[in-house]
Amino acid sequence: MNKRGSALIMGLFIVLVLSILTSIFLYKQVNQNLAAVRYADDVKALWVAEGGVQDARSDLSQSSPATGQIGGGNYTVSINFIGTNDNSDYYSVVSSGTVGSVSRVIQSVVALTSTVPNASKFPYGVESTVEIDFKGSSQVYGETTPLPIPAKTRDPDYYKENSTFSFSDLFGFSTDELKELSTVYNNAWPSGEISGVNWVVAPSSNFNGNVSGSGILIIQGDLKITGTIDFDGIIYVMGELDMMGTAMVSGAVLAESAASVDTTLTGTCDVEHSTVNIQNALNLLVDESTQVVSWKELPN
Amino acid sequence: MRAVHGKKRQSGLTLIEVLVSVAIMATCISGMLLTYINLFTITDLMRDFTLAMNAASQKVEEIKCNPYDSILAFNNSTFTVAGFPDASDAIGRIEVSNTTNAYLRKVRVVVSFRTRGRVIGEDANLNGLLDSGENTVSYAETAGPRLDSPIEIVTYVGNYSS
Repeated sequence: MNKRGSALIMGLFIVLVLSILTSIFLYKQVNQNLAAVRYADDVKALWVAEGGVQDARSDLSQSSPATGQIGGGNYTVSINFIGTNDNSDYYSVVSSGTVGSVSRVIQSVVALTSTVPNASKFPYGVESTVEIDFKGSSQVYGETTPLPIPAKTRDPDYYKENSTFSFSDLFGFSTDELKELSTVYNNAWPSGEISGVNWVVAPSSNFNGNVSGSGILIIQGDLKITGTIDFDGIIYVMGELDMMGTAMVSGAVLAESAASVDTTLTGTCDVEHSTVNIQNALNLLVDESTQVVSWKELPN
Repeated sequence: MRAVHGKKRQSGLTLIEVLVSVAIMATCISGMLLTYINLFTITDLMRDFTLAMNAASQKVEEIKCNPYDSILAFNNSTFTVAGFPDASDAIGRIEVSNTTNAYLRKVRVVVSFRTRGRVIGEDANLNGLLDSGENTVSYAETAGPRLDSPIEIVTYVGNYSS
């Protein structure tokens, strides 16, 4: 038998086997490579979808699907109202995040709770951290006080001296937070008609203008009224309060005086404690908070 | 009879056959060896890729766990990536920015790392900063020069539970 050349054939056969093995390894490795890249896109897509949920939480009332782009991905969010329970509205938020060819879909149930400070925290027409000095024809009474109101009525049920109260407890916001939500007057007194939440960084001069309106009026500094104020709502003074001019307030006046100077009501000051006007003012401070109560990934 | 009267002819490989076989084998095996070496590199790359991605994801979770008001403090900070034999072989960078929505902040986490001498991501010196010459066109620049890497997670963090 002629065996010449058989070594070459054997050699080629071995090479063939090794080549096949190498090809298999290479194939597996390339697949692993692709899997790792896909894993990265998977993670990215999940976070893009999560970003969509966070975005949607800012406006749960939107009816059409919201879309957005973040990083290298896109998200589409649809929101559906589920129902109400324990003063919270529940929404289903489905967000689909896509990065490259990879999509992931997550569903969150979000509870929207609206809270408003309660008028019961303002039980007095005038409340001060120091003593209150009534002079002139100033008067304080409540909305249930029988009419006609006798002159110089100073009903002790409707004012409180040497009181203690906390701004954040009363309004549900810190001073900085509420200032952010307010119309701010820097070193200037407002004039004319005002409404909503107004924040006055008080100038050193007395207030001798003319203001009418409703809502919440915060005075950062002393308020010495020599002009005219006709206001329905809450006036909160972070300083000395001295009402010497004409002040007609239906709601509540609070003075958080740091000094030992008395809060003075003189001139023509007429303060009626009105829970209705107080609550109307507090309704301006709706604090909406959302909370994700469930989270799951949906099959894609 | 031939065994008795003549010398038996030896069958076997000629020198040429052996040389050709060895040459072919050497060529093929060296090619395969190179492939194996590349496979090891890819394996290391994928391992580090996964480690970096996990670290980025974990960091975003960590940021989300912080109060909304304090997450801006993470902006431009860096972090080390666990799992690398040498801690200096990988670094993550965090960017936190405000959006047009006052209740929404954008969080971006990027990780660059070195595998077998090759740096993945723009941070060539792995210091967490985009130094001169590091910005390349390989990655999309949508918001001006920034440190980019294939290991990047971008998401929003919201403040809705005040």
